[in-house]
Amino acid sequence: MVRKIGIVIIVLGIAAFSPAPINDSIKNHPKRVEQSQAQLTKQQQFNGVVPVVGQIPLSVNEVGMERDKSSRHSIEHEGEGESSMTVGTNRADKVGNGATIVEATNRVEQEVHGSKYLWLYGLIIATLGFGGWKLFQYKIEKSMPVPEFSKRFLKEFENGNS
Amino acid sequence: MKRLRRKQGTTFLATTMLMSLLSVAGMTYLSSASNVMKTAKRKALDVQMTQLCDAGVQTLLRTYWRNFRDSQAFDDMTTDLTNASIASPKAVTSGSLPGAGNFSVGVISYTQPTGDVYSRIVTVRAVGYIDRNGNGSLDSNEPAKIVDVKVTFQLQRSQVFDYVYFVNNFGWMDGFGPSDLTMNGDLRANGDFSFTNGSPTVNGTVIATQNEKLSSGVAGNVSGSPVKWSNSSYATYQSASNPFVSRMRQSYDATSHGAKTSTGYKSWQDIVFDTNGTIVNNMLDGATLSDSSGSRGWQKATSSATPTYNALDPAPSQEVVMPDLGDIADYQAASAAYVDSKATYADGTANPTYNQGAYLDVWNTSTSAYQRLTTSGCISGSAVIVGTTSHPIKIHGPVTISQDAVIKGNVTGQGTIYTGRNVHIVGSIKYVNPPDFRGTNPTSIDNANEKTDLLGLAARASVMMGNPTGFDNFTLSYMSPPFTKSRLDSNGNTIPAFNAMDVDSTGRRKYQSVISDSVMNATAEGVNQIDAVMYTNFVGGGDLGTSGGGVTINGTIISRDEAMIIYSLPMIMNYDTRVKERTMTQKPLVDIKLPRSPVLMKSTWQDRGTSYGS
Repeated sequence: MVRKIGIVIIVLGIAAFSPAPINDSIKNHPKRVEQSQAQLTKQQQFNGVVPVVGQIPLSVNEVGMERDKSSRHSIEHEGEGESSMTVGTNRADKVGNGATIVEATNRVEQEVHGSKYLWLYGLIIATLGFGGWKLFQYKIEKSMPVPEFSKRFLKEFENGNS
Repeated sequence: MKRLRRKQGTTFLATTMLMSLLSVAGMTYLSSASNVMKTAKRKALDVQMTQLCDAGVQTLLRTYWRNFRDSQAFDDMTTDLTNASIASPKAVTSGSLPGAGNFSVGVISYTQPTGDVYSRIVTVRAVGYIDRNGNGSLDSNEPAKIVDVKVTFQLQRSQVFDYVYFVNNFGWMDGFGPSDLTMNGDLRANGDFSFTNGSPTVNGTVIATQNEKLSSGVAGNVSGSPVKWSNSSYATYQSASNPFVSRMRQSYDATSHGAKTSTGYKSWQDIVFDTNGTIVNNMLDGATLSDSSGSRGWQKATSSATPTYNALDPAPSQEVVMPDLGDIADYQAASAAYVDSKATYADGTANPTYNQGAYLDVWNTSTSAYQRLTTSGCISGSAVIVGTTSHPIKIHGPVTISQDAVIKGNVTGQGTIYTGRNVHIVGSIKYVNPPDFRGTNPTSIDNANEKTDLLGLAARASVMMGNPTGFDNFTLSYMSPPFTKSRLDSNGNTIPAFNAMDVDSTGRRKYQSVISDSVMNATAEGVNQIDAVMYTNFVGGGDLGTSGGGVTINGTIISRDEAMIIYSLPMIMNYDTRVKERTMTQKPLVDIKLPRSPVLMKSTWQDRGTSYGS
């Protein structure tokens, strides 16, 4: 029992005097006193540019960048069942050459352009229709017999008037 | 005989005309019925093909959006899409929706708006068609529809700058009592937020967010409850002669600021602290605790008091995407292109730096004159910049330094320093002309503060505070795994946790500067005050307050991992409301070209026509 109590006291003692995550190591840290304006002025001798050291990191994420095989399902399989492409590679161009888009564009444009001349077609049809109607009228008039009473009526009319 | 024949001719003509009329009527009816059927069929096809076009557009845009969201740069887009045209579409892809039809989609236009380096306008053309013979291509007898969708990929002002403390991976306050740490501003994490071993004072909102992209996949909870002052306690403190009270937000007072539903309050709502979390006009207002279980107001006046909560909104909080300073060349280009376009301030006075480019000037003790360190807003290499009250550092606009910036002292002007590597804060940074957020007239406050000093520090790597040559294992342990966290990008790639002990391409460890240790030791002092908006791609941390007297940050700290070790108390953080986007104007009071976040905006959907095949 005494031994157990002793262990508990030791453990609690260690816990009590161990450094808290943030504050307790202050005592051991050398203090750097805030400097005066005069000291700052002296340090302005360091003002300036220092040339590039080594290389400028091209990517700050470059170390250890790798595909994570166990990545979340929702991310990994988000695009399943649909066509996809990889940006930044030539894959995009391999997926299609745009022939379908160009062909569809041409076809639709042709139909749209076709409708632009609808008025011309209408004019031609109206002209032909009007001409046809006049021709029909002419043929009708030509083929129709002149009523006899008309001749008699004209003769009587001429006689009556004379 | 002749007369009879004439009568028969008339009958024949009349019969023919009648039959013709009947034929025309019949044909008209048949044609009309056929047209109705054809129209109905075409309408069904049109709807079907519209859906196919939409599927195509979404497929293509999602691919580029994911890439853009991660890279936060236009490089891949520019490589893939430049010179796209109708005759030669780029990034063409095709697919099918089973039972519906096929789509083929590509980019037909890719442009940068004049004078806007942060936007790209992309026009996508989608063809939806019914592949009747199943040969996978569009044939002349197959119907097809064309839709053009115009979208804008943009790097927009980021919401992360609305907070005094924003940490992507893990927000934490450990070992602080109510008078040890006072945060006057809102706090946010794209992960858990933890208050342990004490209850610091937080006069603002605290937000945690569920985040499956963090390596361990966090639930997004706020654990522990900080102390919060009442509005009257806050006002009493601010009206007394306490340090930095001019840098604090005001507390809400209905008499001064108007009722919450009044138009007068709209001028104040972004820049005041209200201890009472409520909902105003269907929006959260005042200080709240928000996490994956929703938003709630809370009251806790002392560390020993049991907090009381009032539930406000069950909706979980959402992730705010952090900007990512990827390619330093983008920022060099932005610095070179920058010209101050503000001719006059809001009060009508002339802006003395109008039409000037970005620059960074420091005092040269050899020549006893100011020396311009930048060329076209940029510095190749690193820079040591020390300011005094009589000869402060002068900054204007966004300045880019390709490696490290070592900075301390007095600063004047308005601008942001972008670094290709670290920002090392080796002493206090103080504004020569600081803002003052007190007063009764919001317009007068804004007009005065619009002209005062404002510094942004944006590190592509980390913001290190204090002398890195003095960092011990205790400090470094907070800058290394397992305390720092790895995360996944949108494509499932792991971005490893920051490790301060790793050596980068400069040959130096990540927490060290490329500036020599002797210069660092000669210039470093205790960091007691930082007047700056600090942004870092990785760690914001180091040793603060080592000279005693506590630490005050007037601005913000935004980082993925936070590792600030505080060596003297109290610590105070005051949010600089000038960088917050105002609800009424949709822009901050002072724009110092801080890092941006990616957004995708759809602007037009244009139906270009349908062909039903021959």
